[in-house]
Amino acid sequence: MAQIFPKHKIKDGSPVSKDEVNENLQEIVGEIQGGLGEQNWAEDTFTRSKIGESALIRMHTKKIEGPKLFTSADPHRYSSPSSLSSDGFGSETHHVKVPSNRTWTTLISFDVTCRSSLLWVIASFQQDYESRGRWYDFEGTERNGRDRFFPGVQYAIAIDGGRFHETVIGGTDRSNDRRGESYRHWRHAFTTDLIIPVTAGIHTVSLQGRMVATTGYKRFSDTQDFYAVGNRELIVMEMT
Amino acid sequence: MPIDWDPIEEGDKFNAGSLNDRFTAVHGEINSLPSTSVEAQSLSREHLDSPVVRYGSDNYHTNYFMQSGGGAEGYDFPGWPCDGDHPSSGTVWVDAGLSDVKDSGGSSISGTTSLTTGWRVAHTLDFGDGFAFTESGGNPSANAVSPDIEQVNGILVLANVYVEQLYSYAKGRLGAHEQAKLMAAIALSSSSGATYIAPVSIRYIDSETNTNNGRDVSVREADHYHIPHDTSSNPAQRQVHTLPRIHKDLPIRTYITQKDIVHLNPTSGPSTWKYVRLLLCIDNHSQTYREADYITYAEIGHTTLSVVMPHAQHLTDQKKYWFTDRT
Repeated sequence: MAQIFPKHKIKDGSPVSKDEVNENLQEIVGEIQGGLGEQNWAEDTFTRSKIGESALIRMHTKKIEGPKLFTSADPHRYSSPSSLSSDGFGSETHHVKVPSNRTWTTLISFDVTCRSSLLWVIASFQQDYESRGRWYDFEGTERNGRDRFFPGVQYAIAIDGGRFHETVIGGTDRSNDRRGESYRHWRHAFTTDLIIPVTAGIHTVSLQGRMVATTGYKRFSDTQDFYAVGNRELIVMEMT
Repeated sequence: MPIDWDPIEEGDKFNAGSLNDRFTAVHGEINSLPSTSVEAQSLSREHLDSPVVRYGSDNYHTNYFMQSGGGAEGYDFPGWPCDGDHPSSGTVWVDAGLSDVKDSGGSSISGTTSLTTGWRVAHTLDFGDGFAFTESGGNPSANAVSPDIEQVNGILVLANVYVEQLYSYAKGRLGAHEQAKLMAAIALSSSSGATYIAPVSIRYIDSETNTNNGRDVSVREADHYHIPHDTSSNPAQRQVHTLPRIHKDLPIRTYITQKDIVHLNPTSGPSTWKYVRLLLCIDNHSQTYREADYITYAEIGHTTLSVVMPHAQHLTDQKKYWFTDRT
C-alpha cells in the first residue's frame, strides 16, 4: 500500500464538493483493501516491547537437580550417589537409577503444549555410577570395585514415547564391541538434541536411558553396580 | 473483508451522520485488520526487533592447567609440561580462585579447607547493565529496577569443557593415583563479584572414566598403563601406574530461570546480575580427604561459553519472578 496523501485539500470558506470527499475517502479505502505494506509502518516499529513474550520463541523447560549441592548442613560437600540413601534414587530431587535389566527407563519427562511447530529439544545431564560389589578377575581373584566388564548406558530423546534414533548417545550397532553399544564411561556429562516438527497438542518429551548388554549378556545386580543420572534438564524451544 | 461504504451520490444529504457512517466503516476495518489488508512479505526483519535480547560468546583454545593441593612436592608429573609443580612458560593458568562463591543458601563456600573450594573462572561474559529479578506482574520496585525494563525469563547457556588430563595422588605417593573429579558449573555474578552457582548446571568427569578397574589400588596397577618415572629415590615411585588422559568433552546445556537461583535470596542478595560465568573446580576423593593431603592436576584443552537471552515466555512453569533486562 502506498503512503496516503489527501487528493483534495478542503479549504476554509469553500463549498465542499461531494466528489472531493469521495475521492479523499477512496484513497484510504482503496489502499487498505489493496493491502497494507511495509511503507505503512516505520522502521523498528515492532520493537520487543511491542511483541508478545512468546511471539518469537516459546521456551519450555524441565530440570531436576540430582545431588543436593552445598546443603546448609554440609555446605562444602557435593553429594554423589554413594552418599545418598537408596531411597533417594528415583525421587524428583535425587539421582534416578538406570536399571541393569536393559530396559529403557525414563530419566526426566514433561508435557509440552504447543501449536503445530518445529521443536528444538535439548537434553543435558550428568551420568554417575555406584559400585558396591566385589567381582572376580581373570585369575579368579576377588576384587573390590566395579566389574571390569560393566558396560555403559545408551541415552535417547523420546517424544510421546517414541525414541529418536538420531539422538541416541552411543550407537545402535554394537559391532564387535564386547562391552556394548554405548560409551562405557563412568562419570560423564552428555548432551543430545533434536529438531523436529510436531502437530498441535500436548506432547510428552522425555530423556530415556538403558544399560546395554555385554556380548555375553552377563547379568549384573543393580543393587551392586549401577549407573545413575543426576542433574538433568530438558530444554524445548518452540520455534515457529 | 472489504470495507463496506458507499460513495456520496448526487442528491445525497451531506450531513454528519452520513459522514460518520462512512468513516466508521473505515475505522472498523483498520481496528481489526484482516490478512487481506496486509501485503505479502510486508513485515520484514527491518521492522522487527531481534528475538535475542542479549548474546555473548567466548572461547579459549589455549591449554591451561589447574592444580589443587600444592606446595613443593618435588615429583615431576610424568608427561606434564611443568617444572616440578609449576607450569612452564607458555602455559596459561586460569585466573585465581574466586574469593566469594555462594552456595544455594547464600553462604560462602570459599576460604575453607574443603576440596570443593577453588572454583576458578574459565569464562566471564559481561551483560552490561545486567539483568534483575522482577515480578511477572510488573512490579519491579522491590528490586529498584526501572519499570520500563524488558522482560526475559531465562538465559540459554551452552558451554563445553574439553578435558585433556586429570590426575590426582597423595602427597609422597606419586605412583598411587587416586580418583578425582573435574567439576564445571554455570554461575551468575553481581557487579561486586559475588558468584552464585546454578546448582542444576553442575557437571563433572571422573579421572578414571576411561578405565576398567575398580577402586582397589592393586586392580588399578594391573590395568593402567605404566609410565616410567625414574627420578624418585623411592623404588615404589619409579613406576607410575596411571591413565591420566581423559580427552573428553564435558558439555553443559542449561536454561537458567529465576527458579534456579531463587534460593540465592533475591531480597538480600544482588538485585542485578552482571556476569554469566563458566566455573571449573577440582574435586578429588569425593570429599573424603582434605586438599592438604593430595595434589590433583587438570589440563583443560579448550572451553567455550555461549549465552543467549531469547525473547520468550516460560509457559510451562511460570514463577513469580522473571529475569529482566535492565537496559
